[in-house]
Amino acid sequence: MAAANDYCLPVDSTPAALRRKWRLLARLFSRQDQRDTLAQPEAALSTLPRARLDTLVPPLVWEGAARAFDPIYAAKAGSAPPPGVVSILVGQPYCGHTEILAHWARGRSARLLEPPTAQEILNADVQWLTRCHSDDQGLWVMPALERCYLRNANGLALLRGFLDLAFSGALGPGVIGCDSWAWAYLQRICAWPATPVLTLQAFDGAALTALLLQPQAQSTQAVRFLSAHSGASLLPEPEDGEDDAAAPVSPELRQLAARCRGNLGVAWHYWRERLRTAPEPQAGEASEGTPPPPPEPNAIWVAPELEIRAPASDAGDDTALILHALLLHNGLAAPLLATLLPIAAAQLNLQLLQLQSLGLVEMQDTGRWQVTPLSYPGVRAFLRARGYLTDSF
Amino acid sequence: MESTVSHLFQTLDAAALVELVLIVVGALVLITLEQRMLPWAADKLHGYYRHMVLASVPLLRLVIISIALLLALPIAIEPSWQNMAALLGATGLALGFALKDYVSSLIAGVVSAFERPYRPGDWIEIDGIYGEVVHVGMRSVALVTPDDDYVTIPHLKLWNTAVKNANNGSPRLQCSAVFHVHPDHDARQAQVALEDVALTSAYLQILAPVLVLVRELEWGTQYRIRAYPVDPRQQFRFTSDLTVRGREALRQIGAQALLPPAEVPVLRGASATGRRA
Repeated sequence: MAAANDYCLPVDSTPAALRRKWRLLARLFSRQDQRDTLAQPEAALSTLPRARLDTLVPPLVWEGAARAFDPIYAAKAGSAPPPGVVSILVGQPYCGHTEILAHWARGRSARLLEPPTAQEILNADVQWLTRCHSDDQGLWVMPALERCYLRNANGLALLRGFLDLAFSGALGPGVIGCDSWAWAYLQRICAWPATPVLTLQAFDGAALTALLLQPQAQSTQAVRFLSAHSGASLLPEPEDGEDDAAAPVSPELRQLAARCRGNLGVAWHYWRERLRTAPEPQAGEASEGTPPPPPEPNAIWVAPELEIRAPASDAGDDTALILHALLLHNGLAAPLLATLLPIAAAQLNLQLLQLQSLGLVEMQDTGRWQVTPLSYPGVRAFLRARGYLTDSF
Repeated sequence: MESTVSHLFQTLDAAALVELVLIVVGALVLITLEQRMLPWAADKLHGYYRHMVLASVPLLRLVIISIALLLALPIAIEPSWQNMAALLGATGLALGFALKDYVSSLIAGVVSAFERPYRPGDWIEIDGIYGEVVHVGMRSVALVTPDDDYVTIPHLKLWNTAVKNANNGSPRLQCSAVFHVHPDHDARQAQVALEDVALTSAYLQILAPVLVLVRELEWGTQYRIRAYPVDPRQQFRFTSDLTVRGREALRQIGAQALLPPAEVPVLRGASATGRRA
């Protein structure tokens, strides 16, 4: 955890960064279709089944981040903060700010506030504000401020009412969690009092290495993560005899961290996407063609760096508007998106399906469309190049 | 006289002629290339980079022509002060009478490359013609109007006509949306509602200021939203979006829309027409 202003982007080695920029430039001026630029899995390797992936790289758990948040909150706000003292936790997409605050609220026995429904937001229904009130003036947590507004002329009143209550002390001391894109937007919509703003510090190569080694430490079977490109081991192996902190960081992991701009969730998805397994050699295969390489016991192959998924450089305005709206709200249902954008609903649905086929957006179980983690760095760069507001991370 | 003029020029042998032709052809090729490649590259870019690349087209062309002239003149003319002055004087006199306007446009074109009253990518208005600059040539500037008309205007206009430049080489272009309502309404509420309309537009460049101006007229109240779109090319869609949603917001607070009376002259461009509104 760190103050939002202290967020340090991970750096990559200069040649690797130059190579990446050159690829981006080449892509910008190439006529290749987006679908053709997506990396294909290595022909000889196959993807891992979901269960195996979950064992090797288990889903991220946020209790650790919640524990790290606790002392920082205490240092910034005090052990018994007075009403009106509100701290803010800003989280990048896929970095679990909602889950972190939910865990933290449980640990602190704080009141977890439910965001209003879309209908309540659009109708500026003050019933929701009444529900936020409590007589005990105890600690409260609003884990997802991005769910409290809609970028619509009628969609800001409830948010302003809530912030007014929160900062006036009417609700007691509290913590607000907010997505980094919504935070960038809301900072220009509302006047914010000076208040501590915290965020998850960027995950650099060393932090990523330590995180990816954690499941291996609990496993009885040692696994080696080998680069499919060079065959080099990308994570320190148990026989190296070094603790995680002192383990050397492979250039691939440094590049991964830099490419994901320190976004843990995105790096996690990229890593999982790159893992491959070699098929068992069949009897009789060795006699045909070149002999296969000797099998590596317990080896997981890491495919070379994937191409960045991003909209084509000449994509239309509608594509930019849709992606920007999805990021500003951390995902939206299609009917709501149609309410917020000057695009006809039928046209919008077609656009969403097209973006889905390109792997840029996906529909969540909740019915919300969201930018996919694997396309997030490309979509962010695309919007930034076009002059749209982006988050500050 | 004939002998004086003939002494101006070098004797052009075959090698000198080839050299001259190479310089001219080389300059033409370079100019053609830069006039095609740079706008093509600019179309792949957005924001400041696009405007920067587009703006460099006429300047680069001027540099190429200047270098070509510097290389060609000493080959064709005996390079002495007297010869240069005599040749330029004679040429100037001849052109001054015969092709006055054409030469004036060419000179204005050179001036425009340095003063930069317009660059490719700018949205300008000259003599009531509004459009995006798509090409700045040696003699004229070409615009594409919102109606998709291609208009060529000689640089000559620079000498005595006002040139309005809406974005002046940057992606920031102010748009206005104007509303007229009956005076019987809560003006403060209307102002706030219209400000929220602008702040929630998908096209808004939110880093630029948003302003809602109120003006009381004899027959009603006029509101004007001033804001900037993300890209100047979005100006008409942006203004339309503000107009549609602004009308709805005013209707929701009970402000009754009014049309200006027939005898009152409507402000020029008072509809959804970008910055000129």
